[in-house]
Amino acid sequence: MPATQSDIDQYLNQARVKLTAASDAGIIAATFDVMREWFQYTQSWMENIDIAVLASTVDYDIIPVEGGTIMTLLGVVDSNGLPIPALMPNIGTITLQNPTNTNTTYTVSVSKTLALPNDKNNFPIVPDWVLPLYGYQILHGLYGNMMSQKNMAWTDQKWAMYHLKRFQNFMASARTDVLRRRTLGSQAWTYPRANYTSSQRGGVSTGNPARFT
Amino acid sequence: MGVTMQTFSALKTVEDYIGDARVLLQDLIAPYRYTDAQLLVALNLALLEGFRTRPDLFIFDRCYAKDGIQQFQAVDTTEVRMELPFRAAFVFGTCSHALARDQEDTQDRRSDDFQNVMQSILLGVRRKKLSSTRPGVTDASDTE
Repeated sequence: MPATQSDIDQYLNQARVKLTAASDAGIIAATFDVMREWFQYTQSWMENIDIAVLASTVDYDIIPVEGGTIMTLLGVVDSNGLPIPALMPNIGTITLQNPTNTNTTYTVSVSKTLALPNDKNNFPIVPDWVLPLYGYQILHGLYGNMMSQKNMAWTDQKWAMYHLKRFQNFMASARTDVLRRRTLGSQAWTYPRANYTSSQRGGVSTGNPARFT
Repeated sequence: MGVTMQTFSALKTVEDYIGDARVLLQDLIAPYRYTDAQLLVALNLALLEGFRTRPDLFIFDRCYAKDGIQQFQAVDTTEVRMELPFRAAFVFGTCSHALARDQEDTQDRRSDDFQNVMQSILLGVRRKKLSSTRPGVTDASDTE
């Protein structure tokens, strides 16, 4: 579900107050860049996609059904939840290390970032939890982005540095939250010890339970 | 009987822009000093000037993406696609161009003033006072 209008209004109103004389179009255009940076760094926008695996076939195209564009493969699990070695050398195409003997279903986890087109009001299409959860943090990125523009009414290099620094800190914090799968006080999320390998032979991304070391 | 309030137009259509420009130009009674065609040219040029200084205002205008900035051929009810806070700028821009074509010294000054107001609204800087065109009034009296 995309962001609600009330959340978008709240976001834009905050931005209008801080960025005197900035246009909505300019704010929204800068928001796209800031959000893209946010998602690319934090990997906080994830989606699980089921694929029907056919015997002796290793390449599968995946398409996100909840919007956005695929960025990184986080992992593949089978119907029992066990990790399957796989890579994504081409964006949107999963390559399994080993073909299966029977037809089955795997679940592919990917992280995503923004994609065009935007919604009818040109606001980027993001999940409904983004603005309530991260709107404040993204606003700091927006302020930093716009205040660093040259020779505009809202230009303020000193405050741009302040906001960008806070934005960097927020991104780092959010990335850690994501690695811990948004739990408090836990370690970075992994499968039980028995399931992971310490070599690269598994050929899986670092976000996968099987880790590179 | 209460006082009848004139309905406020939020400068939505070409008619609104040209109509308001005529108010500022004190050109409300036919035959007009400035024809509709002349004011249309002025409005179209004001939009081009606006694009030069604030291209972000036109980012999502599909017309711009395909054919260039929105331009008009007639004074009618065609919508001028512009964000509310910046609409007034284009009325002042229209007036500025209209006045610039007059061959009168006082009008040159007034044209500059309207142009300054337009830029002030677009760029968000403190606007200059509209200067007096009375003879003998110097620039010093215009400073804030």
